[in-house]
Amino acid sequence: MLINELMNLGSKTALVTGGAGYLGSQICDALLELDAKVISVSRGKSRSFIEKSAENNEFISLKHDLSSKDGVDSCLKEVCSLSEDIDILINNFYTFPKEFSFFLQDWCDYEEAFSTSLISPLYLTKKILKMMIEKEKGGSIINIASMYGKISPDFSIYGNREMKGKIGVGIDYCVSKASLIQITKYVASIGGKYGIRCNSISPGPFSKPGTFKGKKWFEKKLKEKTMLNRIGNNDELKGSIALLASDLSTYITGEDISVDGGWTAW
Amino acid sequence: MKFVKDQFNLKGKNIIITGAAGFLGQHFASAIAEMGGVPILLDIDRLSLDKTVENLEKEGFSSESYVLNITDKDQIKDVIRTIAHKYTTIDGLINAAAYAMKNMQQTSDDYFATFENYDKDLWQVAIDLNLTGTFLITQAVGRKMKSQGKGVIVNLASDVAIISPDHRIYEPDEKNYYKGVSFNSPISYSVSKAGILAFTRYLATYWAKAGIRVNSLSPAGVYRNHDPKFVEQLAFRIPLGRMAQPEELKGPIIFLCSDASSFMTGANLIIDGGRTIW
Repeated sequence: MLINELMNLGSKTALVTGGAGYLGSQICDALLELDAKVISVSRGKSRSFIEKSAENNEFISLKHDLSSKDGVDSCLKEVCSLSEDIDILINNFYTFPKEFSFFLQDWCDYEEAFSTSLISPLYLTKKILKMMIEKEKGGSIINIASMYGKISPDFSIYGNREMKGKIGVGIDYCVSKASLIQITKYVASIGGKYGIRCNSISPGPFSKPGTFKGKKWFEKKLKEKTMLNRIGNNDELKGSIALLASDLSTYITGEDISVDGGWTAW
Repeated sequence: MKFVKDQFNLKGKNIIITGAAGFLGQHFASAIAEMGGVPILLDIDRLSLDKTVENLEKEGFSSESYVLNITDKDQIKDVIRTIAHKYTTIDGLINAAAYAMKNMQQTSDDYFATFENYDKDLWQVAIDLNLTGTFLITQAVGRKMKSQGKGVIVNLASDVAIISPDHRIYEPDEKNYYKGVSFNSPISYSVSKAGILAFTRYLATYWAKAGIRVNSLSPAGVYRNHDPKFVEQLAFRIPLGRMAQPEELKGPIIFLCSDASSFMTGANLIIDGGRTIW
């Protein structure tokens, strides 16, 4: 089969959580460009998203808050009413907790943060994996992890604290991303005999436009930590999504792909 | 923003493949040609090289080939000079040459000897080719890439660079009526491929500013008419429950050679059906 044919997702339906976000948008774009039907779930819809829905009838944008069991259940109910099959699941949703600071986070903050960032994608993955097994058509599950699921933040980048202003990395982020990498392997192990593959992508710095406004020092420090000495562009996650979502990667499972400009290799 | 299909395109890219007449090399060449690139084939074996060019022609692809022993610095100099003269740029290098299958048949008994009795010279031959040869060809091609200010290098590593081979799959197992096989996975292979992972990270860092990305690709057992009993032994140790088909490396190699992986360097892409996760 030709490589371009293997890449095509013409007959597939993909469910993308957090699809309206910065990374979520390019994930949806990549899938749509490969002719998949895309169901995106977000708490809100950005303007570019409304435009995308209008111009593409293969794109459905749903509004659900996935931070609770009820939220995930109601989302699944609507998804199942829209599509019989989910061939591709991309767990991309993450939301910042109310309290970031390591020493200020209390028991209830952990509970809240991990419900959203860890239990929610785990629960959704279990449900979708079960559906995929029952349908006997295989499938591909992709977890968007992070380099911070593998290494610690160097706090000197963030003004020597875990959070400064609106930039920084809380421990809930690192722990939940590390968990996603392990969930990936566990699910790959279950899914193997059913032809269901599960992989993760660990992006490096992919900062939203505007992140560095008035914070040039932060941009400089992030770049210094990246081998390629730059921030990832808003189309540089598309390749790994195409690889893992499609039949280009029929022998890749349980793998974590670092798309981090070399951050974790030195 | 680039369309994802365009990111995978290799139109007009000149990509050198070492060990191009080998089992995997041929598939890499075909994948590159299919995506519009120009595969430049290097191999020590003239006959196999001609056969590879012929096979590519049958698929409708043109390619160019040079006989080269990558452990010979002078030969490398000549061949790379010729290639650099002919093509304005060398966009990619796939280091696929390794002391493996074909050589195995020639010296099978010694190559698969027990560790306690392993011949120092055979160990040395594997290290010379897999590590020193890769070092020499990368040095020559990298020099050219550095002067261009761009390039992509993909080094072939292996699952046994990450985990150990499970020696039991080669040995007889009377309980399961398994007679074992006449080959194994020698220590020089694991050690040199593990070296390739460090080689990759080192050069990724060293050449990051020069615009050269360096990544490795680690395949696990690729099916090549193996004894069915052996396949059985290996398959139940793999989450996907089977060996890889060589065609399944085409997507990953194109991914790493193209702009689809433009924000990746120093990484190792594992294609092992999940072999290393448990």
